[in-house]
Amino acid sequence: MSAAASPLVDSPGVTRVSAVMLAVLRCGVALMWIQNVAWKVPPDFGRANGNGLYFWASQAVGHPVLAPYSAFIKTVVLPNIEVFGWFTLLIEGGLGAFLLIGLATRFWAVVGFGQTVAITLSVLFAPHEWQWSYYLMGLAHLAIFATAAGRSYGVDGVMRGVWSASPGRLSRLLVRLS
Amino acid sequence: MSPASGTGSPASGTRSPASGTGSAADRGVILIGVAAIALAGFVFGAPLPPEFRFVSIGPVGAGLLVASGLLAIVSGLIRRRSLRSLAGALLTVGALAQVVGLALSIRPLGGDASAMAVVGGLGIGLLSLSLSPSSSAHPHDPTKGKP
Repeated sequence: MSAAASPLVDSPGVTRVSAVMLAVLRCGVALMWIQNVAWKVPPDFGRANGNGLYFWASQAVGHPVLAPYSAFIKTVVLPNIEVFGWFTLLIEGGLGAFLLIGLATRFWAVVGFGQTVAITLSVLFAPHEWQWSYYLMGLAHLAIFATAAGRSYGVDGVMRGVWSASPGRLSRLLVRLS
Repeated sequence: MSPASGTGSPASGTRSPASGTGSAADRGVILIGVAAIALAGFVFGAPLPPEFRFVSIGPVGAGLLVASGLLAIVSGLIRRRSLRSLAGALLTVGALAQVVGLALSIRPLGGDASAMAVVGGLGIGLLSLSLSPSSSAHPHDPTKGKP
């Protein structure tokens, strides 16, 4: 393996081909979140028509996977879908945005894994769902975290040197999150 | 060339140090600019099957992506940090306008929340590459900070 794949790669030992593949993985997962943030539509997120995010969240109640989670969705989330809808929209929009450019990638991989768990607990037992969709989503985020995929053709890869050399708290934090 | 070599700006803050092939940050900015222009192509995505319609964006959003993308590419080529800051600020403001617009059922960029994510991500990326402190005084150890 070559030591330096490209000026845009900060992962010694990763070949150029592997770095490109990691960037493709990261951007592909980003596009998944970007495409799926589109149907989180404010202000009521589908409550009036029984569709959209409201419908899919309610699957956790209709087809429960974990009883406490279903109770939480029924008593807290669905009655306040206007609040939780915005929370979901901003989280998934952030996932798409930050994974696309590869900034604080490991942090967002953890967020993506958590969001995947929440989605899985909502819809795993819903009719016509393929359970491996959700398992693969989780595994993809694990791969992004494990490989620190933002260091390959991402902002992390370009900026980690700057952050490492800087004494600032934000820079230190970004080194850890990337 | 390490990512840190040639990255950053002198005290005047408008022009990166010159090097033979350009710094990693300059190349990163060019890459983001190219991505912005490519993603603007989704303005013509309506005929695509939904499976391939990753981004929904209108002419205003696409125009913003193309203009900012060109600005970013030029800034990377001539190493002007101020230009990439401008491009990043334009995109970030556009994304914020889309967020506010979503709350008011107005879509300044056209499309939907996917436009917000794409435009915002590219804007934050450009701002990160232009506003972060210079490393030119500190050699980079690529193994530092690794778990």
